[in-house]
Amino acid sequence: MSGNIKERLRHLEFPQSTRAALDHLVRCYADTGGGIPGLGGGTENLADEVVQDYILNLSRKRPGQRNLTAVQELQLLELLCSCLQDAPEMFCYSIFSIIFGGQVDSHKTGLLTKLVSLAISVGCGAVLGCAALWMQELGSQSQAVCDLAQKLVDDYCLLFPNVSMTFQHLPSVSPLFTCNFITAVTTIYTMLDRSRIPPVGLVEYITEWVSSDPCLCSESVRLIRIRSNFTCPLYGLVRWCVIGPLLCKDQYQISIPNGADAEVESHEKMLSLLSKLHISVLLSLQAYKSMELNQELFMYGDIYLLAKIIATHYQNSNFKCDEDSQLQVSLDRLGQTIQVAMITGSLNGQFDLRPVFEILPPNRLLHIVAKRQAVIKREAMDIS
Amino acid sequence: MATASESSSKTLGPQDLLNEVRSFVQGVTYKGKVKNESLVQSALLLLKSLPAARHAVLEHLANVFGEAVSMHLMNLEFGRNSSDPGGEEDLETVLKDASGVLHTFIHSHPQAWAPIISAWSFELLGHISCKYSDRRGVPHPGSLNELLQLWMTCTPTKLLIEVTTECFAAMVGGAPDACVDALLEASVKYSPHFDWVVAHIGSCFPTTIITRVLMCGLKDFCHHGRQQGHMDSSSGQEEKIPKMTSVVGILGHLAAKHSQDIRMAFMRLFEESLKAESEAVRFTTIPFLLQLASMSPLLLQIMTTDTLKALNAPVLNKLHYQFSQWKASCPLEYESFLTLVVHLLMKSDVGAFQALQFLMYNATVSKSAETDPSLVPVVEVQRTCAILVDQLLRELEQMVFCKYKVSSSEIPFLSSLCPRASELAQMMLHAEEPRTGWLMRLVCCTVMFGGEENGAEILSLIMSQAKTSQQLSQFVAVQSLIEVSLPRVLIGLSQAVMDKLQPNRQTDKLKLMNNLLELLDWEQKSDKANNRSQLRDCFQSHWDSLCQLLLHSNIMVAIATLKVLNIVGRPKRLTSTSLLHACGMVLSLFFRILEFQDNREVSGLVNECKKSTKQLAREGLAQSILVHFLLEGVLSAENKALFGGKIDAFINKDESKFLAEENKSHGTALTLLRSHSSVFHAGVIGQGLRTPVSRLCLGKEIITRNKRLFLELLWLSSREQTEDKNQESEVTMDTTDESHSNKTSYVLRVPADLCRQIGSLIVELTTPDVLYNNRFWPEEETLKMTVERDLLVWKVLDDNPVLWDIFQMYAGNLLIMCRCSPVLRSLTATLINYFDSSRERLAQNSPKHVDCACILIRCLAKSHLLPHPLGLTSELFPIVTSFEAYLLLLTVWRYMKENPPTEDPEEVSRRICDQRHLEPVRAILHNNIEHAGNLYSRFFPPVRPKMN
Repeated sequence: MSGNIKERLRHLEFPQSTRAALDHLVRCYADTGGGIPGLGGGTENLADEVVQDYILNLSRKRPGQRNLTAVQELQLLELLCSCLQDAPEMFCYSIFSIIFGGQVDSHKTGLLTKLVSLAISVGCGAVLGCAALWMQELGSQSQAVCDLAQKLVDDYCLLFPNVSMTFQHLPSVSPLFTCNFITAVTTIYTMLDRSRIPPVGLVEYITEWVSSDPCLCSESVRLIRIRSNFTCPLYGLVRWCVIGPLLCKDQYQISIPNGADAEVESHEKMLSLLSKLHISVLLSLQAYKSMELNQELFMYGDIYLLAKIIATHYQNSNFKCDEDSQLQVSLDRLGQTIQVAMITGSLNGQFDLRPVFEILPPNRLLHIVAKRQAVIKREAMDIS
Repeated sequence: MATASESSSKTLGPQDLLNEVRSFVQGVTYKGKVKNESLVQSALLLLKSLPAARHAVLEHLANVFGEAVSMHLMNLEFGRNSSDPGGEEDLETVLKDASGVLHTFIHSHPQAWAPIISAWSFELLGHISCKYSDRRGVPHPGSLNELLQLWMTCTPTKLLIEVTTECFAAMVGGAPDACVDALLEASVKYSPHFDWVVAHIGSCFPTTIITRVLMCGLKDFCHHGRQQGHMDSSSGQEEKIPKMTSVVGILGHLAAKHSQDIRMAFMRLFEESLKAESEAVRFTTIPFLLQLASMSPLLLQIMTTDTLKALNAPVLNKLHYQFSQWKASCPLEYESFLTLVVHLLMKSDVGAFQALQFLMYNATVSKSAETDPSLVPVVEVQRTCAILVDQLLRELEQMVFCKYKVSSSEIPFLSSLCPRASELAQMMLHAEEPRTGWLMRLVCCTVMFGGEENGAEILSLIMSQAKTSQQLSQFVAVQSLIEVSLPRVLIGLSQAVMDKLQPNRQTDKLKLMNNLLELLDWEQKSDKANNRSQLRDCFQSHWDSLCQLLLHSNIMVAIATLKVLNIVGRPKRLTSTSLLHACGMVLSLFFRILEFQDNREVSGLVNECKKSTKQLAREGLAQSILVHFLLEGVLSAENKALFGGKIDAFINKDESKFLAEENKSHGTALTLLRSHSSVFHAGVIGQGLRTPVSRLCLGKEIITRNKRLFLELLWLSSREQTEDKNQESEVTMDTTDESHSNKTSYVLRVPADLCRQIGSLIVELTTPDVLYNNRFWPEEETLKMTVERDLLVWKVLDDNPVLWDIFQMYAGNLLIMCRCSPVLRSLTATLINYFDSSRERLAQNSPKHVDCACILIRCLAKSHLLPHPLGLTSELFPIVTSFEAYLLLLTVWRYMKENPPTEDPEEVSRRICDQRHLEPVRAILHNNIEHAGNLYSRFFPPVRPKMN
């Protein structure tokens, strides 16, 4: 049978050959009954060859061979999409991973990116689910995932903002994908300097997603039961909310002389979005506690880094602490986050946060938080 | 359309999208099943709603655009296809929709979409223009305008280029480098078919394109320069740097409309390079600019005009310090750099003159000339400039000398300098070494390039402007150099000079004539074997016209002209008219010269007149003209006073001069003789009565001198030219020659015809009418009838004492005296009457009359009209009484009455004095024997006894 399929495929032209190859893959997995991969007895090697020859290499640019045109590539993507959609759910990821798994290479990632983009548009949950797992496997902060996320941002936020209903409702199609996507995006757009500010459209989507589903950000953590590592978008989002106002203020001051109305508008929109996002993050933390996953989402170092950035910013600006409203906002948010995190158990309450508070400019809320922490600590010591 | 489909996309669910994708893919795969238009509609729908389909849709659109262009061309080639009437229009409508969608994208999200769409459209445009370039309807890529017109009338490409322009506009603000780079890349890839796109976009965004293109070119040049390890070489660079060609091409397209922008961008680039931090930019900008200039004449022009202005001394010094290290490390490259500069200079046209001035100024500017030492270029810069000038001149000379005829396109430098050659020549005259040498070589090159006419003009300019001999010597230098290739330049020069001498021209004629004279003089004195053609030969053909200047109001000009004419020599053949003119003018000048007081000067000048007269008098006609004018002139009211003549109080020299000037101001040409006929403005009306002005009194010495000079000239003019005829071949007459001929024939021989003319003329001039003008002496009784007439004749001679001298000069000539017989008769009659009635005892008491009588008798005796003893009677007048004088004269009269004057010398010699006539003489001698004893034997020699 194995020789048979290769022989047959060789005589077929592009759409038919790929379709037949995919059919073969699906049938393979169906025949083996979803057995443990690797025990297929040579089927895996054969499948791998078929995938290379009739799916991946078709669109790879190779000298001396005809490449697929862009239209044919689109057709290929459509075939893949339909195939995964129609495949039984249990083999879905297996098929996916035999195509896109394994060694990461740019061509493969490129094709995957296009596939994911198409899947988002046509609302193909199967593909997105697989992609989410793929991301989780690679780690949402890895280069390949970040590249994919960047392309998606380009497509859906820069080139075609507001074009796709499905992107807007992405969490409903695949919450895990959304969660990993957010993690990757916060890795790309670190909000640490001006070139790393996320586009307003993206922030808008994310705010929408996070606020509509407080559990969204914990999706990836939930998988801790089957995977050893996890990534969580919450720290990245906290960073956006805390540093964002400061950075936006700088940006705003720079663009003010040019006086473009659109820029002023987007600046204000960004600030209000961040504010909304902040409350959503706090709510997410609260929801996280109720899920009882008991993982620490924040490290002490993360908090210290944020404090350090604020402090540096404060030193560089020539405003006084209480005059700078945005500084107070970010200090407040930091204080609120620390407080909520400690209470929800996503930040270890045992850390001594005094060094953090010491480097920060004075803020009433922080003061209260610090006092409160001291009280808790003393109580804990008393109990012990 | 676009908005309608936009609203429909909103309603498109995920499943619909997937279906749309499927149908689109099917439609594209199986062509012909689905209509093209609906396929495009579907593609646009996908483009608007499905990010992943972007590439596929753009690819499909590219195909559709290509199809549309093909169809358009097909229709152009074969005429409109009647079977498919609406095909093209439908397609075009669809394409318009597509470009509308693209426009919307660019507008709504310029930063994201513009790079994608512009890359796509560049690629597509390049592809299309390349693919269809060999179609019949498509013009050759060389003819940019036709190409532009074709593609701009073709709807698909027009739409595309609009989209591209839109992208460009969106990107220019944000990332200009990226888009220009893309443009250049495409230009390199699809050159030359892509040029029209560049031209179009360039004309839409001239400033950005120019600046960016230059920057990109520089970057590329820097990069390549570093790779190759050397900075420039004039050849083979084009292959190495493909971008350079397209940079030049693009700038070339833009040159026509935006040369000002290019200029500014160039300057900015240059100025930035001076301030640049990076070494690479500093070192490569100037070679880059030069390289560009070598590839495009327009850029070269900008270089030579604008950039030079920026290169003042501080900048030059700065450049020197920047490049000195490089110069020291790679001498060979430095050499080729200089060669490049020289070649660029030779190619420059508009800015050639500035470039030259720039180089020469910087090569020779001295510290003392500038007050601020920072404004003086350092020595090395000066030396480099000098080297450049030298090399340039050497190259030019090589080109000019090696080729027989150089076409103007070959050396733009020279062709642009040609019109300014005269300016150069003036600079040359007033420059100092080493500029003079340079300029001289340059002038020679220019002239040889420009041809004979140019050369003649330059030479004439030097001749008319040179103030010192040194300046004049440049004439000879230039002439001998350019004659190598322009052998006929001197002929042209002579014409040019004559043109400058026209009366209405504002030339300094005195300077010009003096310079010409100096050159001729030098030529005469210098070695004849000198390898140059002679000015003399050229000017001889203009002899006639030069003569006109003898009447120039400035006498110095006239004198210089006379000298020039003497050196040039008269042509062998002259028409009688010009001979007449020449004689008249020389003589008129002669009379003007006589007005001078300084004896030395006058004699020198008169010598020139004599030389001229001698040259003229070689023909009988000329002689008679000369003599006629001389005699007429000496008696004319204007000149009379010069010879001691009495002037009518009313004729006043000053006023006549005034009138002459008045006339000159009316007339423009001096072709008329200075005679009464030339005074056509006969007087000034409205000044009332003319007041008698006391006449100018000349000193006796001057009058004597004038008389002498006049007689000398008259002598020269009237003597027979026998000996000169042998010497006619030798044109110049040396002074030694002259004295020699004087010695051999001291006696004045006058040709017979001339004698008769002279005699008749004198008679005509001195007698009031012709009534009694026969040669016979009548009865003494008739004297009473002619008293008045005789007195008139006497008065003429009294007024013009010079006539007596003329008589004496011609006394030995029988023919003249014979013709003058009426005058002599009248004079004798007057004297007879005078002495008859004189109250003085001694004749000597009326000395004037005695002198006249003596002269009269001597004239008669010398011409042998009066035979031996009677001819001696003049010696008796000082001692006799008035009555005896009367008797003596009466005796003469009687003899003359009986022996009338004859022109036959034979008969005269046969005549012997009758004893009858000797009786009164003898008696008078006896009467005064105490005084005349010693004379007696001369009158009556003792009769010797006949020995055998």
